[in-house]
Amino acid sequence: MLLQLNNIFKWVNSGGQRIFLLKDINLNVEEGEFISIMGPSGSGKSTLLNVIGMLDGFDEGEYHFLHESVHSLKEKHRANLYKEYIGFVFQSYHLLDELTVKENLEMPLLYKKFKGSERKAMVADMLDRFNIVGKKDLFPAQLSGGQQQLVGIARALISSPKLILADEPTGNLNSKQGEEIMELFKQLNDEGVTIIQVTHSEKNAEYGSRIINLLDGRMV
Amino acid sequence: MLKNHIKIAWRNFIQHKWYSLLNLGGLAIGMACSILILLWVQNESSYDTFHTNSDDIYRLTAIANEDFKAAVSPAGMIEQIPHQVSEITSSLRLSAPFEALVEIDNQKFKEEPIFYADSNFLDMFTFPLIEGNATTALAKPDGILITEKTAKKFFGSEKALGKTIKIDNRDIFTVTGVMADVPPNSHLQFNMIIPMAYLAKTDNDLINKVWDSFNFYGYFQFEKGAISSQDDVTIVTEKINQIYAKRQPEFVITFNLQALKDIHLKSNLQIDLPGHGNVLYVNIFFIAAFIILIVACINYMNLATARSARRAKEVGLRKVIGAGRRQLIFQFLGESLMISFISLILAVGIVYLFLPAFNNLAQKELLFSLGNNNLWISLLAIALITGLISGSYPALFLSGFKPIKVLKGRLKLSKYNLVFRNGLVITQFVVSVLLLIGTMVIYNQLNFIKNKNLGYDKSNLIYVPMEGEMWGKQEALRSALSQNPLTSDFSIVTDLPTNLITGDFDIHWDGKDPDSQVLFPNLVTDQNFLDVFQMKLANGRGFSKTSSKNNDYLINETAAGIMGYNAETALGKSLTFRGDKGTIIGVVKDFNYKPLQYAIEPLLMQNREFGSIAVIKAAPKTTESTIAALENIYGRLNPAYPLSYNFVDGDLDAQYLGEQRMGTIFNVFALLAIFISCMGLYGLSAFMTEQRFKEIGIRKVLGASAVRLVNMLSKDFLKLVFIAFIIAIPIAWFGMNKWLQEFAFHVEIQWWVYLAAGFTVLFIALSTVSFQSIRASLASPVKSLRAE
Repeated sequence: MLLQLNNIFKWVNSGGQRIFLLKDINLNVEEGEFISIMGPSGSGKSTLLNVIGMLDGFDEGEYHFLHESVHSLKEKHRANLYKEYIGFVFQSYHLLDELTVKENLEMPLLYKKFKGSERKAMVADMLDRFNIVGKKDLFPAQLSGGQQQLVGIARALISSPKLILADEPTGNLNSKQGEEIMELFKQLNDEGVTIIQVTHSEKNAEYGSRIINLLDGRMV
Repeated sequence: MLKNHIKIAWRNFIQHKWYSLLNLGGLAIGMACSILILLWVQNESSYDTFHTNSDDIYRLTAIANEDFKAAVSPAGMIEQIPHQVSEITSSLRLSAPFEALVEIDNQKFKEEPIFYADSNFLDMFTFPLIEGNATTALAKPDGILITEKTAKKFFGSEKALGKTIKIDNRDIFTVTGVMADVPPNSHLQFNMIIPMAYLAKTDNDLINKVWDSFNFYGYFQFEKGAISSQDDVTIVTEKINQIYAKRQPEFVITFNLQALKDIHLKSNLQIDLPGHGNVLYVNIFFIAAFIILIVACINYMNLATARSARRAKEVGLRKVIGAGRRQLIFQFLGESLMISFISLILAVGIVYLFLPAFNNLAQKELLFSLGNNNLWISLLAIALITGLISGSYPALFLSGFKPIKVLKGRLKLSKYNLVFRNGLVITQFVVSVLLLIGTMVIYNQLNFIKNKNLGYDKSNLIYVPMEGEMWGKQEALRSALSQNPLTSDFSIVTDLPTNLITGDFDIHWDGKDPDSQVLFPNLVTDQNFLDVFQMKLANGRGFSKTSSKNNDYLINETAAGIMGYNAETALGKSLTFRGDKGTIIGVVKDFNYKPLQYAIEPLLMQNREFGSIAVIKAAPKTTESTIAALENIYGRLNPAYPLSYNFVDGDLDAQYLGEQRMGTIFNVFALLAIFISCMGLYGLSAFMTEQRFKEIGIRKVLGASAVRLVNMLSKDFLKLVFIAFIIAIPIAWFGMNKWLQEFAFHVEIQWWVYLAAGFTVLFIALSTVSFQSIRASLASPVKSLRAE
């Protein structure tokens, strides 16, 4: 089992009232799954994804990730954990504008202290795999949205994470580009990467092996 | 990793050229100012440290009373004290510096300054000889030491040693040594040294080894290590005072020992050698250098936070991808260090470019040679400190962003953050207000000095000192001057009333408290003096033909007060000065006969028809023809000497040269500091406007006018300026009053000075800010709202 959420609650206090963002979430994710999280706006999809990604905390419940108890870990260990095992893909790509495609791909490797030769090989491999060798020296602003997201996914994959978290990865793309990205996810999943995506679109959700529906912070 | 950071920093730098230039420019100007000031401070603090024995040499100074402390002491005392105080190994006497006519191979030069010095001069002080033997150079009375520069002037490329020099058309001296030029950071500045043995042939003080006439500068060399603390100094001073009290029981004078290294900066003594500095200015400037650097750093911080909204995304992303907080702190500190080192290079360039101008302004010979290791270390330290200080805030601030917040939406800044940044801005405003008030007060005071009514008319007064044959031809001079209508308005005096350095305790009047000891400066004048200087009498009359014979005295109003009289009652009272009993025939209205740093002291005037200076009052616009007439008269009576004349008002102005210079330097740096602040303010207002871009859009859509928006955006700054103003006032009041205390005559700081400074800063701030806010409020709202 990759991760397990037990009775997760998350709330904010507003004007003396407790507003629940997540309410009693129980979720088991096995390695190799492709899960789509769906639900209307404000139902807590992104919050859940951030909790899973350890970018955000929670107020009650237990979270186990690969036999580590996330809820009892200190901030720093938690950060180390997600840095090692989780790759993030964002709706608005979040590439660094000042860096070229190649340099954007290289950045996670720098923080993981890979040697220069290794980094070169891994970046070249990734450029090859995503067919963007010709674009390696371009800056993000010179790419189309679909291409930028491609780079975003490549960057998330480059340090071989166990889990990819994607928050509406196709939200800013047109349908054709979106389809290509979803195909890519499918292919990655077939190769063994676990993927959890948040999406609004029924069609995109179908790519997953399992769909979780959220409403007002509850799983339905 | 480093390469990646440099790449990011560099591309950011290029992409936001305008910001980068503001940053670089501010830091570079700030650093250049600081480097220049620190060079100056370093030079001022290095005076007399080049002497090998500098730690063991002290100068004997005299204290007559609280108001009159002098740098001089008696010749006999200086000579004999070492025999009675075991800690002192040797003593040295120096005369007052003087000017002389020097003749070499029929070529005549006026040379100054020249000192008479005891024969151990080269032994006590470290002035290395280029030619000659240091132990015997001053042994014979007809030897003379000259500096290398002077040797070149006199003898060109010829060897100077052994050559002869005729001085004042009388005695012939042989060059016994050529000294390396005197370092600029020596309180003793001279071109020639003549053995004291020469003066000892004629000088009464030296012949009689007197203990009661204060005419020499005395230096003591102590045994190595004998003086290790202030207590040791106090003990020796006490010993000296006891010796003196025993020897001269009729005088209540005490002495002080002044460390050689303190002479330049910490001397507020009268009758001191010219050209000494002021520790107050050194401290002020040192602080100013620091403040300017801080202001520049604050700029960087503000501009970096201004860009934080843009860089927040990068931070969030790096964190998600794997960067730790420490790595981000290093990244941002590295960036600020990079900027600060580039600024340093620019600053070094600026310093090179402006050092000559600065030297001119400060009248210094500062050197900026990059071959000096210490200089390198200080420069690197400046860059490092600047980089770390200016980078610290952005680094800590930016690296603290929570990734989820910055990636998801807008960056919300905490309240603490706002307080901190406002604090920075207030600091800058406080500095600006302070500097402006300082500038205005200094300007007012200097203006006040220039225009102060001294009690006499200083304009068009030409003076010529007696030289050579003229001493014996004063009758002839008198008649020659009075025959020419251009020069007929003249007076012959012993001293000019510009900076009187005489003083005597030997004065008695009826009813004088026998225990009181009042020092009376005295001035010896002819009958024309009051007319020529256009001084006013409070009562009585000026000197007449019989005054000299009758021992008539004139006193000033202060003296009358001290004697227990007033202008009315003083008249006709008897007075004994230096044993000459006479009558007070007039009371002169108080006039300033010392620089305005000093209050008006009592003054006694005696009548003699002979003196050492002729003062001629030229009629307006006839200065040139008057000088021509003087040249004619002097050329006839005293052909051996070229006419040397000066102007009284010029001398008076020269007394405040130091203050004028400090004032100008202060103004220049004040303006630069304010300019740097403005650069930062401009960046900050850009930041504020960027933060509120959306708000501005919404307000515009809802109907706000551009004027209202500008108002809204500028209001915050108004508050900050006001707070800064409140903080700055007491600091300015305290600081400027401290400076003004240096002058016995000074302006009071008027309330409008504060207001003017406040409004000026407000105006500067608002115009800087409104540049941004007007642009923002005129922008199309569609743009700002769509950006979301």
